[in-house]
Order: sequence, then C-alpha cells, then structure tokens
Amino acid sequence: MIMKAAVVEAEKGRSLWQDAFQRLLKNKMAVIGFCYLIVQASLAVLAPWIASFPFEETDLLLGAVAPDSVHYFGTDALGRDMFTRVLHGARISLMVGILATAVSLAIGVLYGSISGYMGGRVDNIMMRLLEILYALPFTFFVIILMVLFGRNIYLLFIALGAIQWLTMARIVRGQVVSLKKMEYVDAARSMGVGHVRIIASHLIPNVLGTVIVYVTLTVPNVILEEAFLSFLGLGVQEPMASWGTLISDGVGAMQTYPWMLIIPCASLMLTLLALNFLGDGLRDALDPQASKD
Amino acid sequence: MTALLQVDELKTYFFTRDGLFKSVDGISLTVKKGKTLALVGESGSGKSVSMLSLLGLIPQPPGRIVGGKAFFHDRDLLHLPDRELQALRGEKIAMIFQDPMTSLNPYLRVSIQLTEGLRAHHNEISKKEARRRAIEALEHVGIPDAKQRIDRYPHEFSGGMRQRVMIAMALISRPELLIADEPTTALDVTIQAQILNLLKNLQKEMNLSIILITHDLGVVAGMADEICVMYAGKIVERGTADDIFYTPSHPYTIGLLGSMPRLDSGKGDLKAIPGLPPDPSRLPKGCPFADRCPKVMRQCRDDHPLPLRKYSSTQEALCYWEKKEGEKT
Repeated sequence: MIMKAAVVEAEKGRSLWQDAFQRLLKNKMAVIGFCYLIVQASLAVLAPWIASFPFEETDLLLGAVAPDSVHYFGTDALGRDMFTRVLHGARISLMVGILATAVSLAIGVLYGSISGYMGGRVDNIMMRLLEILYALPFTFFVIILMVLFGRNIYLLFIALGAIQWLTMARIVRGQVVSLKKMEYVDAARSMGVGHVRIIASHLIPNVLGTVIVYVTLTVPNVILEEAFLSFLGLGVQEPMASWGTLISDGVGAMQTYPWMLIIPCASLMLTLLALNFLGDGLRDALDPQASKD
Repeated sequence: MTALLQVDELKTYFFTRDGLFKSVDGISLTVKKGKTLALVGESGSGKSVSMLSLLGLIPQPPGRIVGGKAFFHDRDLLHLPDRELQALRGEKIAMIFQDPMTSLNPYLRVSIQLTEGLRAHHNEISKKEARRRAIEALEHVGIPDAKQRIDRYPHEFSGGMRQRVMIAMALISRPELLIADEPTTALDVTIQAQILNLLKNLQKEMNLSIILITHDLGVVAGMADEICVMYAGKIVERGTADDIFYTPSHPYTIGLLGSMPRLDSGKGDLKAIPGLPPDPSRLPKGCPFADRCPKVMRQCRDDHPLPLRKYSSTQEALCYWEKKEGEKT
C-alpha cells in the first residue's frame, strides 16, 4: 500500500509544497499547534450541539458558580454556562480571525502584486496611497464605521481586514519586486505570456510561502484586535459573546469569580500560541534554504 | 538567400541615476533563413540587451530603444504595438535563456510552463491538444519518458534536461527564429556538446534561424555561419566563422582568440586581454577598446567615428589598424 502510494507520487512528481509539508510534519510543536487548532475549530463549529445549554440562557437563581461537573467552566453572574459561552465565543473569534484575514489576503495580494509588478510611477502612487492609509488612526476609523453603520459583525470583518491588508500588500510587493526579475518571468514573457497570467500563475504562487506565514501571524492579530474592540464595547453585542467580550466581562468579576477571566483568557492564549507555533513551523518548512535536507 | 531578420543601427540606452548607459550603440546585423548568427563578446558588451530589445523585453524605464529598425518579415519589431509584439513572441520568435536552473518556475509543473505560451497564442487549442503537443516537443528534444516526466516539477530534472525542456518550450510553436542566450554556459562540458548538437539537428529539421549569444568561442566554432564580435555596445568585427577564426582582423578579436585555452600550447600560455571593459556610462572618446589595445594609435582616441575596414565581401572590422598580409598576430 505504502509502496503503491510512493510509486504514484513519483509519477506525479513532488512539488515544493509537498516537500514543505513533509518538513512541517517533522516539526512537533507545529503539528501540536495544528492539531490543537483543528480541535478548537471543530469544537467551535459544533458548539450548538456539544454545549449542554443555550448560550443566552440565564439562570438568575443559580448565579455564579465555580466549575463543577454540570458547568465545566462554571457560570457567570447571570448563571449562563461558561463552557457554552466560551465555545460560542470561539465561533465568533475564529470567524473574525479567518474572515478578516481572508479579506486582507485578497486585497493585499492583489494590490501588492500589481504594485510590485508594474513598478515605476504606478508603484510609487500605490505605495504612497498605502502610507496614507497607514497613517489613519485605526481605532478611530473603526469607531466611525461602527457609528455610521451600526454595530454589525460583518462590518467588523471588513474593517479589521481593511486594516490588515496594508502590511500584507507591502510584503507581497517586496517579494514581487524581487521575483519579477527572475529569469522564468523573462522566459514566460519571451513565450508571449501576458502580464495578467504572469502575475497570476508565476508570481503569486511564489509569494504564497511568505504570505502563508504572515497569515498565521495575522489571524492572532485580528483575534486580538477584535478582543480589544469588544473589550471597548465596539465588537459583538450581548447576548452573543466573543472571547474579547468574555474577557471584558471577566475583568469586572476578577476578584470574586476568577474563572470568568481565566478560562476565556486561557482559550485565547492557547489558540494564539498554537497559531504562532504553526506559523513558525511553516516558516521553517517553506524556507528554500532548508530544502536541501 | 533571403534575410529573415534585418537589424539596422539598433540603439538601446539606459537612463539611470548614475548616468547614461549606452548598452547597445548602433548595431546592425542580418539573420538569414536557416542560418546561425553568433553574437560574441564579454559580459556587459550588449549582446543580451540587443536581443531583448528586439523582443520588447527591456525594462522601461530605465531602458529605452532610442534608434534603429529591425525588420522581421517586413515588420519593424522596434515600432510594433505591444500587443502585436506579444503575439510574435514565442510564436515566431522564441528565446532560450542562460540558466536553465532559474528560467523555469520552481512552483509550476513542467506541463504548465510548456503549454502556457501555446495557449496564450491559440485560444482554440484545447488543454488536451496542448498537452499532446508538449509531450511531442519533449520527445523531440530527447527527453525519455516524456509522458510521465511532463507532470514533474523543474527541480526533478537535471541541468541538461532542464535546458532541453527550455528548448522544447521555445520550439513548441515552431518559431522561425530562435534566440539562444548563452544556452550552454551553465552546463557541464559533456552536456554542452549534446545541447549544441540538439540545436543543430533541430535547426536542420525545422529550417530554423538561430541567433546564438555567447562569450565562448569554442561554442561558436561548431555552430555559427556568421559571427559578430561585440565590444562595449558596438559590433567591432563581423565575418564568417572561417574569417574570424583564421584571419581575425580586429585587435579585440585577436585578443579573444588568444585568450582561449588550447590543448596544444604549453602551460602558462594563457594570454588574457589586459584591463577591463570601459564603464558603459563613461565611454571614452573614439574607440572604446583603445585602453586595452596592443595596436593602439593616436587617432584611436580622436572623437571621430571609427572607420569600417572591409577585408573581404564577408569580413569587416571597426578599426584604424589595418592588418598587413601575412602579419603575425
């Protein structure tokens, strides 16, 4: 069976991606991080079926209880089950992280690769524009958006993504500027391949390695930003919860009900840690210098 | 014998912050159908830049084609709209590059890179048909198991095989003119001979015209019908292969031939040309080779156009110095 798989693989050819994946598998911390994220994500997706209580159900008579065998993570002051709320919080936080990063990825890669590839005056104008956007105070920008359009979770994705793409675009542009001088770009040009196709099929696959690493750093960033905005009261609304709002609630009750702070904080931290390990692993795995071993 | 490509006084300059670089300064050449023209010179002499100019692949800015004409089938390549030039590239004129290690994209399967030129030119060719032609092209350049190999990635090929892939890629549309930019420089000597033989056979078969860019006179000897020797953006001598090898008449050509290692000469008999090529942004007045030339005369440094000395119907040199009959060089 294994032999057969190896033969098939040899016939199809092994891409650099597959090589990198093999190297990634050898990195224990990255694999642990990756597994943790899978578990965390599936728990989040399956939250409504796993959790034994609806997330908005209050039990004022019960009040806040410490973790026990019924309420694994305890309850908050309104008697809401913390286990349920943390799982539902993960839904929001991970969704914000992934969607906002996807937004930033789409805009950033497109903008950066066009800017880098065109070069000259176009590049100059596009980069100056980027710097102007950089200079806008971000929190202020989000507050204005929230005030203008109301508190809307999708707006939050877009707003966060719209901030993150700036750095993404810069990274991609830098890569493209050096990649477009590669001989295979000239070779493709000499074959009569057009600009759009060169960007899409020659340059973007080559920057993906760097971009993926940056993505794993962006996701925690976005989750933190969302937590920060929710903490300020600009994120998701009650009774919905994200890790940010849970932490914000927990801070208020820190001295009396410490589990309300510790548990969401731990969830956030572990996820960020896992993402960082995965990012580190990916960076090492995709490093072309390491491809010889 | 009809001319396929006629380049007339091509000038490509680079306008940079460090000054004006006259990379190609008025070169003229004619490529005949089914023949090979070799452009010989040191790195930086403008060989590659002149050919990239023809294909419209000079980075602009800072580069600019400031003058000249280049007729390919009655169409002036230098004044063709971008779109039309792109339609010619790969289809009628193809190019192979020096380093087969870097001229294939490491992230793409060979099949994709082979067919993308074809598919860029012909919308009507289906994926399947393009693939069939790519396999055929690979077999044509002597890659065994082409059917399996086509799905491999470039890093799974050896250097020589990659150069074969490059040649297959260039010839897949059956172009009329192939520009080979130092096609063998990055290869082992044994592989070099194979690749050159392959090019020669393909040329015969497809009646292909080749412009061979190289700094290696050994490569030229077996391939070229006509040789143009370039120095500092100018063609300093041109002639048939016999003219250049047996009766070189420009001191630079003589120097180049002298600096070729020979098996039959004793040890330590390697004669390098003293000095370095001039900085292309500060070319001296007169002859750019004057500072390194063993035959230099006073008028060489005058601010006059150099005289073109004709030695025969096929050979001419851009030089004041005239070789006497039977003079030992």
